[in-house]
Amino acid sequence: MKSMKIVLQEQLENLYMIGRLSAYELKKSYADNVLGSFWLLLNPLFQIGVYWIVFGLGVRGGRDVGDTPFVIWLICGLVPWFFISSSILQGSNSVYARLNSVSKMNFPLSVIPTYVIVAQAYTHLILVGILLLIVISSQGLSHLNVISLLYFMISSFCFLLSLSFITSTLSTMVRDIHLLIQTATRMLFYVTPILWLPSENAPQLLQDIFKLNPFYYVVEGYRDSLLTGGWGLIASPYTLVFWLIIVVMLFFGSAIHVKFRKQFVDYL
Amino acid sequence: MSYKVKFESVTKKYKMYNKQIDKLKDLLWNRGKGDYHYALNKISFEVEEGEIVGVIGLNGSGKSTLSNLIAGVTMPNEGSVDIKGTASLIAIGAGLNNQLTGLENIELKGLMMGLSKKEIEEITPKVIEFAEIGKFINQPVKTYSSGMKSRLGFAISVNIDPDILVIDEALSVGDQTFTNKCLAKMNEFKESGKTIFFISHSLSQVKSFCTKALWIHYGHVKEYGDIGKVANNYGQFLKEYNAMSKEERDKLREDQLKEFSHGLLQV
Repeated sequence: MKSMKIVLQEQLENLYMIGRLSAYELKKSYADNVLGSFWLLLNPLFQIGVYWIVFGLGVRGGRDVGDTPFVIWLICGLVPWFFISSSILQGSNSVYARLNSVSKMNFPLSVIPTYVIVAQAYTHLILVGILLLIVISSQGLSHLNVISLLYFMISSFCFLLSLSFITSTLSTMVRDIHLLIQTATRMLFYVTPILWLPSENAPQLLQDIFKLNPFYYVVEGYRDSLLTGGWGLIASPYTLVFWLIIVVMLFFGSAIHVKFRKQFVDYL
Repeated sequence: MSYKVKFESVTKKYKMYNKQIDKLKDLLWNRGKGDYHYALNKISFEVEEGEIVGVIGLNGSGKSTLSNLIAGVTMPNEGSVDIKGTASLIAIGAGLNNQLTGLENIELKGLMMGLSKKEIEEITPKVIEFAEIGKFINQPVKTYSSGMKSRLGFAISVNIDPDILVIDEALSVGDQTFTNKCLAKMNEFKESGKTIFFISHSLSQVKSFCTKALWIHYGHVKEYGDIGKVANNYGQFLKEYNAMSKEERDKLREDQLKEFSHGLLQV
């Protein structure tokens, strides 16, 4: 409980620092490329293209999902997934990769995962903006639920942040963990129904287990807010489960972060 | 007089791992057994304000570990380090990001040192002037020469205005002009009652500039006191050490370590 307070306090005290550092973070990641920040869009565009051709046209033969064209359905799930996967990977590596540049000063290390994920959130905001334009122009405004969309954006941010307190600490101390997380993220992509629809015929138990996956909650939440506009998922008990996971992760993450951060430099 | 920095039987040890898996086992079960390398072994000293302490010693004697402890970068395993005020460590290229420009690095490092937006705006022109980088200030740091990097690093750190300044070999890559400029700046620091730790292999620089000297020898304080005496003894020791063959040096090392561990037993 005490370390949770320390970590949260450090975040609040350094808000300006987080803002500026995340801006630099964004700048740095594309600084070396000729096309610069254009890659922010190019990268997702290529991925969407490939998944559409393989899964949309190849596997589904171009059939719609309900009333929604497959492409629209696909990008509503892929855009949050881009945010999730890049935040997990960058968040896990965040402390280790930056330790060298901050190790020679007294710096609140708990800020590092935060600004790395905030930098990912900027990219995400741009993509969500484009996504909104696409959805509105193809589906109209009637099914759009902006408040619910905002809720899911904020809750996915909180989830990824508290997760990265755990992963960044563990993968700083044991480098294998970072590789493990890379593999796990890749598998999560297929376990989470982003490219496929869970079959109605699957056993009830399996469906329930799928829904406990917090990433399912986020991805379904984005889709609901953009395509059906209902409140069903937010009102469901899965909301409680989701936030419970966040609190537990934050508790555990800040405990190990505070416990081990004094030794981080020695692990370099 | 009140002290600025106080070390009380500070020990910093690093465990020697043969396999990565041992590291993991240690994390899980916290075993105390194993081989340790004592970077610093029960050292104690006190430094008053306005002092410039030259830290001297052979390679691997624990000087950099000492500077990291003062700057709060690492924590001691035993004993306590008491620092009054903020400490800033200057090491070559530390905290500079190669991809960003000099100007961006000034802001970045300022931010990381906990300065506000206004303070950063205030120090930026001072840093640029002091570092003498010219039009390179808008170029990425990776294009800088090593002298330019260390000038920029030094300029940022001194302008941040810490209470305690730790300079770890950072002047060794600068040319004479810049070194003199740094020394002048450090004298200014001295006059305003700040404490400086100056870690250098250049005995002449240490002699001309420090008020006290701390001689660290294989993780122990060999001598601490006024600069003249300690520096002379160290100079004498260096002369003898340089004349030794490799076997003699190894023997000296072992003897010293044995002697220290005896001393510890008697205490």
